[in-house]
Amino acid sequence: MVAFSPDEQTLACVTASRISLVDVRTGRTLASGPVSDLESVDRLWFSPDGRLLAATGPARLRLIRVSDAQVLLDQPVATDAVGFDGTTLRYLADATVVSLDVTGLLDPVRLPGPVPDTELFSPDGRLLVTHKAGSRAMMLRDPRGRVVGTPLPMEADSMIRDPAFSGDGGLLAFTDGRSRDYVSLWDTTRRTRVAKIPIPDMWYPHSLAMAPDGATLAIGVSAVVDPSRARLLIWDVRQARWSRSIGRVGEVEVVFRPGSTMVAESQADPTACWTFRREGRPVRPSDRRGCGALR
Amino acid sequence: MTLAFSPDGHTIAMHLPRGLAFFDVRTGERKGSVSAIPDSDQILFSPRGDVAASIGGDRSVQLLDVATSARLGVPFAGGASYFKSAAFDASGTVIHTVDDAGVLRDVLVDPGRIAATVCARVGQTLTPAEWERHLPGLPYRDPCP
Repeated sequence: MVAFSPDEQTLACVTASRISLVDVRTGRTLASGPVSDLESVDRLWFSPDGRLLAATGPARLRLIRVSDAQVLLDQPVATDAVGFDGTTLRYLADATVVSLDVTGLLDPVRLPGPVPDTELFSPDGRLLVTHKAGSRAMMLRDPRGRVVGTPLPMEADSMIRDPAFSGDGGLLAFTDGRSRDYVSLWDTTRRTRVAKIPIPDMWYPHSLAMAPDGATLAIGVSAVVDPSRARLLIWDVRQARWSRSIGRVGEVEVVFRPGSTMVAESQADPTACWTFRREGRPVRPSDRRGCGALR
Repeated sequence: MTLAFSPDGHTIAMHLPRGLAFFDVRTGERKGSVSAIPDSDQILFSPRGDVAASIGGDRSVQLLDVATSARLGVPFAGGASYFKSAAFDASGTVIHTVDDAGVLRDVLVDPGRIAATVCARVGQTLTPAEWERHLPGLPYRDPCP
């Protein structure tokens, strides 16, 4: 089985166990690689841009990257129902039409400019925030690295630490300032800073987490004079005020459980966890069953 | 230690010294574990909560079936740099990643691989009658051949 690329410069040839891509003019093999069970392939065709090769049959689809003959995808499909426009692959699998953006499989994307110090995806995968320390612009990007909207203005000494998104990416919080003396809270849709939360004097944040609904912010802080004296501060985002200050937990990382509670895990003692209501009340007094009992 | 909750809040995934384990949050019971999963910076659950991904560790992404704690395929190698952040897309079919060299890569969550695992777990396929009840009007095909 053979197929020509759309520009007729490359020929794809399959044998029972191997695929080769050959330069038509020179006869040189451009790429070659093993692919199992190719003897049963009944259709072989290039994507319109010539960068991907699809091999189907029977009841199986293989997607192969032309540049290195690597198999990117191998799965059962209804081979008479495969569509591909070069960026989106659509096929029928178990009565479900699967639609895949395959552009990320083709070429990794390198973000332009200096490598950012901060890179964080929103939990829904819709937004990527990037920032280079000292830069006066924070970028919101799509998953392919393209800048979405206008940059968010930052202060000259900005250095983002411990960034955290709400579940839908609508809110972004991070420790800001060279001296870590406040936490910034941004509305990523309106592109405005909605709160500049001052950290009490003589304390600095070491961890930050936001509830999936964006209503609660948990900020772990350490004392400047004695890092062992740590507290967990709970900020009510809607009321724009502190709702709780929790002591005797040491330095903790917080993970919110969707809808209800949060778990604070000790950074010093891997067996110590505490479970709190989202507003900071303990689920039970001195409840340490979170992580320790789960082992 | 890294931990993450499933979207429904019922399951917690946690890195332990020798692997990764899933626990029932309400009972504390261990639902399953996978050995030799390198510690990572991030554990993700798919939007439906059926697939988890351990990101980072050895610069790879390992997909896991939450119900059986089975590995889904071989790890996806990200390259020479470490992953810095990752997230499932809304459909749960792609994991977007970015590494510490500022390179974005997508990891495909292969539905075929997941289907094979689910079929192996269930141990049976849909009968024509069940197919007609759940997928009326569509011609029958064996989802677990």
